[in-house]
Amino acid sequence: MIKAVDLKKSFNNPPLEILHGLNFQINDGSFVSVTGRSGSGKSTLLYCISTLDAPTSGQVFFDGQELGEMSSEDLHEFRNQKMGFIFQFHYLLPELNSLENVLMPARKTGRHLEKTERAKELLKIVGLEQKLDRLPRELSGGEQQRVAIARSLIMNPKYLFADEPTGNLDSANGELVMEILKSITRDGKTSVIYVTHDPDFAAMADHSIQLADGRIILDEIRGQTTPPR
Amino acid sequence: MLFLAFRHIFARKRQSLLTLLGVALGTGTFVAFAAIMTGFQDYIIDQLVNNDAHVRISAKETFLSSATFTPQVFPSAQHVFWITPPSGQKESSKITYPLSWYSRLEKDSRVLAFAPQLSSSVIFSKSGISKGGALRGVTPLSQVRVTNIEKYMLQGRFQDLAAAGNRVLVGEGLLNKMGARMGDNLLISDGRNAPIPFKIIGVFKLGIVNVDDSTAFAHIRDVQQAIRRPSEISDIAIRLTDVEDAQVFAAQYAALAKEKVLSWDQANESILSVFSIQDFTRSFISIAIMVVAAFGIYNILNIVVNQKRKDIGILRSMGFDGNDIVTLFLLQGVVLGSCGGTLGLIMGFTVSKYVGTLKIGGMMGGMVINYSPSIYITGFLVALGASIISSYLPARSAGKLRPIDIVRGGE
Repeated sequence: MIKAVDLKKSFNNPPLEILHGLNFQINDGSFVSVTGRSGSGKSTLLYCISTLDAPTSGQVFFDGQELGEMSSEDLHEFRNQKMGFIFQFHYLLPELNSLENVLMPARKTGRHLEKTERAKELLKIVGLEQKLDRLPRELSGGEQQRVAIARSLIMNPKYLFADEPTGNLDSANGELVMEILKSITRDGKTSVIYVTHDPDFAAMADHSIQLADGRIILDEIRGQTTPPR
Repeated sequence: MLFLAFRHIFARKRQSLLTLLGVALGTGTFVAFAAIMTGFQDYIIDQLVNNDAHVRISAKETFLSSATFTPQVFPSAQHVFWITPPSGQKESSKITYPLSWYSRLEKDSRVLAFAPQLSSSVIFSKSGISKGGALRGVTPLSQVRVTNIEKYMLQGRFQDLAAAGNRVLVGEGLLNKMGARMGDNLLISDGRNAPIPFKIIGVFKLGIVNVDDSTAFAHIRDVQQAIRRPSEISDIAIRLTDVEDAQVFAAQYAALAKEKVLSWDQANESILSVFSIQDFTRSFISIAIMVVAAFGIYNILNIVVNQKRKDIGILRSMGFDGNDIVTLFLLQGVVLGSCGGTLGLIMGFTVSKYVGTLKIGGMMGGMVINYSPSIYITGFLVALGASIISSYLPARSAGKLRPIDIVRGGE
């Protein structure tokens, strides 16, 4: 469970407050869309709750543990063990083939050998079992993004953060990617939090958070509505 | 991280190869330079140390002047003016009381061996050819314990001199210049006495031209007789158990005695100072080459770090921390440095091996090359050190990148 309390983020140059004290809660196993116009702060929100960026004030709790109180070492380990990231651009390491890219997070803890089978399985799930030894430049954009998804899942993360995972893909590939992401949450434990522009993809969520000008204007869990605070 | 570092290196083969070559050239030059120059220096120093004495006691040449006589001849006079001021040298320079030296040296535990000598400048002549040179009277059995002269005998043996009887060993150059052969007689005169024939029973070659061209060894008694200076000696050559003691030893005895006591390095100060200039030049050139190679590594890694910002971001998001990133780039420098260094050592070794086969100067059997491991260790460490320093700076800047700046920056 992720809980944000009075989350604020501002930038100094130019001085600008992006997030104005957000409060929300994300339950385990939910498929969460974060929507809003560009500039509404949705990417910033994603990075603040996903530890890549530090909030200016306010707290983020993961299962009751506050991020700001974790040491840098613990934070990196937490990121490695519990979190997966997917970005708009795939960000695969160009020197490594698909399988090696997927296994990269496991290398951090030296577990890449025991994870090899799992990596092949994941690449099969995303439909790339034939392309294990291809370099990223030999893959199409959609295939690259699917490798990135497999990579984000290799450590069996509890939280998966995706910043416009379909932003760079055609609609067929986009749908495929979203289907894969959705299927991840079916175990009831893994949460996927994704930022998207696409209303169709946003509608797939079972928890929608909509932002406007750094404030939550809609926080809706399918079947129940909590008023914005 | 080593895995990824290697992938990075192999992903840019040309750059890596060039960097590698840069480091290799630097290291190779250093090793070859050092091997050749120190080999040469060691050879010369070995000659200086072992072909002559570690410490030499020699008679002071005393010159005469008005100051020598005035106090003795006119002890009470205040102002003495000489019409013709006295000048000259005391008749012969000899060690005044050699026996006291012998007993002192025998008691000194640092002394391995010592050998009295009587040297004189003489004229060698044979069938119309004459040539000035030096005749060294030695006691052959102690002489071979003091110097390495035996190693440099081309014909005959040094001990053959032990039986006195007007026999000489001559330098190769001198032999050729006199047009003489083994077994010939050489007339030797000190200019004041009638020439005396000496039979050539051996030839030596030290490799020092001015010695080989003008020096002959004979038994000390023969020399004393030939130049009419019976039982006199002019030098005592001393070999110490440890050559490092030479300076201290010489300084101690110089303070006690009225004779000149010189250690080998004092006697050869000018050569040694040339060596220290050589060393300086050598280090300077090697450092310059390594700096250029290090700049190569620095430049390339700096560019790479910039190109790899995205990769750094994604690695950070996977949970790799700043230190991992520093390690990633530092390792690349270290790999390039150590591979280049190793290649350089091989290059340096090959070059010095080749130079070792060249015959330069008066050395027997080609250039002397120093193969001591310390050169190779130094060369490798310098290469490694230079690459670590030059890759640390880009690596550190990469480690400082915050993931958010990269991820947010987009393409």
